[in-house]
Amino acid sequence: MSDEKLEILEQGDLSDEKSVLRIRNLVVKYKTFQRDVIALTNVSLDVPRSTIIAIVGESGCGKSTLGYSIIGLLPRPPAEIGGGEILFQNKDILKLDEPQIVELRGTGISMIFQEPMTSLDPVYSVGQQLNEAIDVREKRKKRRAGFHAQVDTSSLNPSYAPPGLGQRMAGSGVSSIGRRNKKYSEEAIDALKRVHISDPERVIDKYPHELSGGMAQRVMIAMALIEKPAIVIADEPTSALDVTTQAQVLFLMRELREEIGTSILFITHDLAVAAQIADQVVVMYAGEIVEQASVEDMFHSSLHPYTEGLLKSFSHGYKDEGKIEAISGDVPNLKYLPSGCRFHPRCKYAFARCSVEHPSLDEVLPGHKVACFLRSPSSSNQSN
Amino acid sequence: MQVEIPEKKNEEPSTKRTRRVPFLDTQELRISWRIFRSSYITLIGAIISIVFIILALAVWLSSNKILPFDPYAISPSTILQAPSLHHLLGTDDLGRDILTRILAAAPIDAEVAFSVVGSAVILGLLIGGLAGFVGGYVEEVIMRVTDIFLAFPGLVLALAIVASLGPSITNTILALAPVWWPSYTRLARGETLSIKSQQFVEASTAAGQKNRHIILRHIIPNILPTLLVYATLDIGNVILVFSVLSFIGLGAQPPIPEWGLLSAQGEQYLRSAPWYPIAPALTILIVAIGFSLFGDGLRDALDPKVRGLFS
Amino acid sequence: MGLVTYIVRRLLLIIPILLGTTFITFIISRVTVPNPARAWAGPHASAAAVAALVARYHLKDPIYVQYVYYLRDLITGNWGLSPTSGRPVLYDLQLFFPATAELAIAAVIVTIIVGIPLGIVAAMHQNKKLDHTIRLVYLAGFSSPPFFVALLFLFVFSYYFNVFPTNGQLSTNLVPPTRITGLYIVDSLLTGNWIDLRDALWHIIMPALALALTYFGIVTRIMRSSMLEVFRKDFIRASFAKGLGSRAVVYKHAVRNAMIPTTTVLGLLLGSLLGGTIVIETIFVWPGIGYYATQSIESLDFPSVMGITVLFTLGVVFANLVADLLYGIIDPRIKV
Repeated sequence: MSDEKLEILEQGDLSDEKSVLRIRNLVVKYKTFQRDVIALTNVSLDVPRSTIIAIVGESGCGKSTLGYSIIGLLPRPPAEIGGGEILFQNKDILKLDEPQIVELRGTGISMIFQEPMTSLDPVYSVGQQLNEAIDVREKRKKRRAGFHAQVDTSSLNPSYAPPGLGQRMAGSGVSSIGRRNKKYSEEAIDALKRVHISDPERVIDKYPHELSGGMAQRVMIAMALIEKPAIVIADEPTSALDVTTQAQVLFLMRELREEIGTSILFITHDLAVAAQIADQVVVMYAGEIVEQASVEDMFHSSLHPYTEGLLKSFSHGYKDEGKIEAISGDVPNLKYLPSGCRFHPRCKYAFARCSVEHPSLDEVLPGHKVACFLRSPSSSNQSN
Repeated sequence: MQVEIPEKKNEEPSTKRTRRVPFLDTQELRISWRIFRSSYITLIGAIISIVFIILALAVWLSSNKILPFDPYAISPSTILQAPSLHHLLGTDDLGRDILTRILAAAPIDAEVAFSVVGSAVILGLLIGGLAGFVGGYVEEVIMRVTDIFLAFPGLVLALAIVASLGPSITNTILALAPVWWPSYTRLARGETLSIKSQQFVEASTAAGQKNRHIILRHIIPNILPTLLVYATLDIGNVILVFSVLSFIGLGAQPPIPEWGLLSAQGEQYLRSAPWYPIAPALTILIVAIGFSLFGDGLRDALDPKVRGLFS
Repeated sequence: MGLVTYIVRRLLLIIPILLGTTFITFIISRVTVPNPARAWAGPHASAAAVAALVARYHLKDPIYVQYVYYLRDLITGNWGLSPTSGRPVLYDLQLFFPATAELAIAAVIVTIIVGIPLGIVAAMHQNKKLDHTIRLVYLAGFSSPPFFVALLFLFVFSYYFNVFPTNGQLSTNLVPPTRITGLYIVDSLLTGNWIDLRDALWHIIMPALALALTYFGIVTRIMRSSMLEVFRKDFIRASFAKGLGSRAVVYKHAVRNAMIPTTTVLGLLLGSLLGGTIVIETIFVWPGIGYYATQSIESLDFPSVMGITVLFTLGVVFANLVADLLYGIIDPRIKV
């Protein structure tokens, strides 16, 4: 077991793996008093390095649940992993125990949230919280250096490694945050500069409630810059911002990808935003992926009726403007899912097979997957 | 080609009513019962509370005849006996059976507790409801006055009033009421404000209903449950304060049995007959906890989030 | 909002509260009493003395006039004459005050040391056995009359096991330390009087514990619910996402934030403690204001009782003020 722990701790080096993250057949349920809510059904996704993937869908489609599952922040109970695996650096992170997951967060897998102002602790200054991020990173580096040294000089018998080292260490993200003196490291100020905050010396002393939404989100991105994760999950990071600030933050996130090679899973309900930032787009509905393609293919030649409906429901620059239409009907209740294809009750192309059999996600064109009998008549699986 | 979409299997249940009154229809009552039944602790609290009320009623209605001994009969030959089969909790310094005295005190504590809490609820409902409903200057004045009463430590205020009026049970009730009515006024006003802004009240007003109708049919039934829940929690608290007042000499006067007074009378015998002062004090603890747990359970039963889990 | 603005606003708020509460104590002192003159003169006063009192306190004048004189008297320190001791009430209060202050401070310290960690633990184990146990314990605490724990302790530790002294602040064979503050523990510490210090500490343990164990629930309950609320906040989630472990998140972030609303309960705590000291001091014969109160009640000394009422009420009003000011200082959203 210690060997495996060693491998997990050795992160940060983007090895020759093509994919940063591989999700295989993930099933997530929420237990309630009566029926279970099936939040995610057989979700599979490969995230390549330095790629921005937008995960798009209406509220309740499971996109946020997906994000939380990856970083291990699902509230369980009531949430439960019903099956599948998530491979990060060749390890199934769903099987890790809490201290190991803690080791991964921040420096391996990071997450930024929708409301940036409330994502910062109101009683500590910006600088103190940035220092905290630096501390997390430095402490991990030291630990790994010391750990390696230990293994090198010992007789290579894994049992000489202090038992439960991973466990003990993971709990102590103790940091310089307690220090009252406002001496912030150069690096913290530097990080603020890199996210284009003009006047970082002033901002660094400020408390979160004194910042604007855009500024706060930039601080969050600065923390990601400091910790250099391999993948950042961004859960609707621009939904709470106005359009101009939104553009700035999106720009910053692209820079993040350029500067440290991180991949971004950009969760949003806003297709327009997805269009601006993504390399690939994944469309989710009722807990499943229904279509996946490059951003150009998705917007120019989408295949799934739901995607078509989404594209028609707002105006964007990619296609000829037709009439704006809403998709009729409502999103299904995840406790009482429709039989067969989950979208069939609202689909104008639905035929008999759609209500009986459940389509699987097939690659019908290179790099373009869709789960629909209209497009891939041969596919079928009974996973309902 | 359009196809008839077949009937959905797996129908979801119909949406709940949005009206908040939890006790006035059977489905809501069923949910309340389910919640109540699910917690052992709440049930224990309920049992203690009900036993207390029944005992108090029984003793009062039978004018103490139901008790094993006469709580007032002095018997010099049986002074300060240790607990035995005959006197389950021993006897006091005047030979009276302690268990009997404790039971005899039940109706007295019950009377004080229910009078005080009852009047607090009614006063709170009226005054607080008025403040919430009418708003404006009236509301401001009422809330300021409430704040001033709330600035006093409860026991101290009651103490002062009883000291000025003279110690007796009636005066104690009069002294305790001002300590409790402010909280209920605040509560009632807050609830009234939140009910007032709910849609069905606005709809009612738009439909031209008179104010009086709105108050009686909409507002009062909706704020009363919350007030009653807090009243249940408070019964124990009143008994606590009343017992302290009696302990220090205000409140019930000898030879009337009252738990706090009994403890005070027994204090000097703590060394030789510890059961004498401790038993009545323990009784207070049990009864107060009972009502506390019961009230907590009731409060959970009213909480919309909890109701959602049990529906 | 700015700390200064906050402080000024809060101080201004004190004035109507002080006026309001003194008005009520006035009503209790002079209006609701069936025979104010007799009550203030004492049950054994002569008719002449009573008449003199009526003149002195303007008891025949209309209420609003009386109130003005009452206020004036309060402010100038004329809180009445105690018929039992013959001394001004305020003077008597000053004699007994330090002992109560000492006991109250000790009780508050124990309450905080016990109450806050228990609240944190209860929150971290929400709805599990530990949480339920803690809640039951503190519920039992503030559901018990203050004399319950006191009598129990007294019996077990003083009579049965003979560990702690049964009464007083200091053993009768010892000389109290030189009076600097009036608080025996502080004074003996300041004067290096180790014998007195040890003895005084030994005496204060039981009364302070009895008080604290009865009322610690007030602090634990709010600390627990405060922690639970903080746990739901976004920045806790974000701290985990940053890679912090549970220990850091709880102690560096959650506790720090949860403490802020907890300060608001200081006034409530002191109010309950002061009420409790009346009982505790009586049982442990602790020479403080609570003890003075029961003596006054027994001897029908109405002026003293009213003096104590005003004193305790002022105490609570100022405790609330301090709590609010503290809140303003530790919450950066107000400070900056």
